Amino acid sequence: MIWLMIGVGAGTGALCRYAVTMAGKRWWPERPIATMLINIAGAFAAGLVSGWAPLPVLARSLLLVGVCGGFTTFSTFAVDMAILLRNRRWSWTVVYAASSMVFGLLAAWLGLLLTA
Amino acid sequence: MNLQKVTDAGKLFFISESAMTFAATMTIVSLMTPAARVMTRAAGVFSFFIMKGMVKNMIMDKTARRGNGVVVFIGGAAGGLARYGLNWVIGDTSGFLGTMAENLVGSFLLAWLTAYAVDSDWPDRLVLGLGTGVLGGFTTFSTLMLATVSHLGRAPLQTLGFLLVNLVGGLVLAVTGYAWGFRGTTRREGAR
Repeated sequence: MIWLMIGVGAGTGALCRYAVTMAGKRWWPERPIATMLINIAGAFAAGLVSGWAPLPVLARSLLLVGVCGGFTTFSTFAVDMAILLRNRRWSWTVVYAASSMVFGLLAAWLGLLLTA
Repeated sequence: MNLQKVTDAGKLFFISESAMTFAATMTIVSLMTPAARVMTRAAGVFSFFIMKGMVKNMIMDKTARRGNGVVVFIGGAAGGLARYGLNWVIGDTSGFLGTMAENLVGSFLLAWLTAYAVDSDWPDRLVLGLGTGVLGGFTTFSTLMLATVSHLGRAPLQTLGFLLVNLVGGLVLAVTGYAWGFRGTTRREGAR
């Protein structure tokens, strides 16, 4: 049952990520802003779900491991950095990496704080 | 792979589906809890942006292709299950080791795939399913952030080191994977 939950959750998360990425390509062409927003939003959601104690184990797996895990992505983040570096956009690379990390950590912390 | 084609390819029905699913999940979840207001508001803001993009895209591209969404869903489910399976096999409750392994491997593979697929004759949907679906679902940013935040107080140095290994290692492996992918393409062309 838990495997089904995680499969469905991760699939839904990936679908949402694809939708946001598509919208992001139209709004901010050539800039990985969509991936950044996805990761920050996902970190916040993960904080919320994780800090929320009365949640049943199965629902927690569905939302945390499934949806949040499938929604956020580290591989695209790393590849975006590599592409920015290859295109010699040094300042964008630093801003992208730093803001993803800092705001991601803040968002996760805020999520934990809100539900704790 | 024609990148432009993928970018402009059918954006639509699946966006509405995913937005509805996400909003519905968040709403149901938020009704059951005292943190309802925060969750509902977040879901509302999120779906507003999705809907906005959806309407815009619908106007701009009417030849929507449902198949892309299906491919991403199946790929994402497979990637997520592989991630859960690996964590389960490793048996690491803190999520440090598993998350690090997944992120490093996934970064390398996605970079390789991205570089390789540009010039290859792999079907667009295969690349989409493997890249956005499987590898995107396999790696995770949220667990990384969560593990870092929740362990920062107890073991700050180790946690920051872990974060740094993920970040720098992921970047180095992505650059390497990118270079390898392009070399693969050149070799293929040379053989032709």
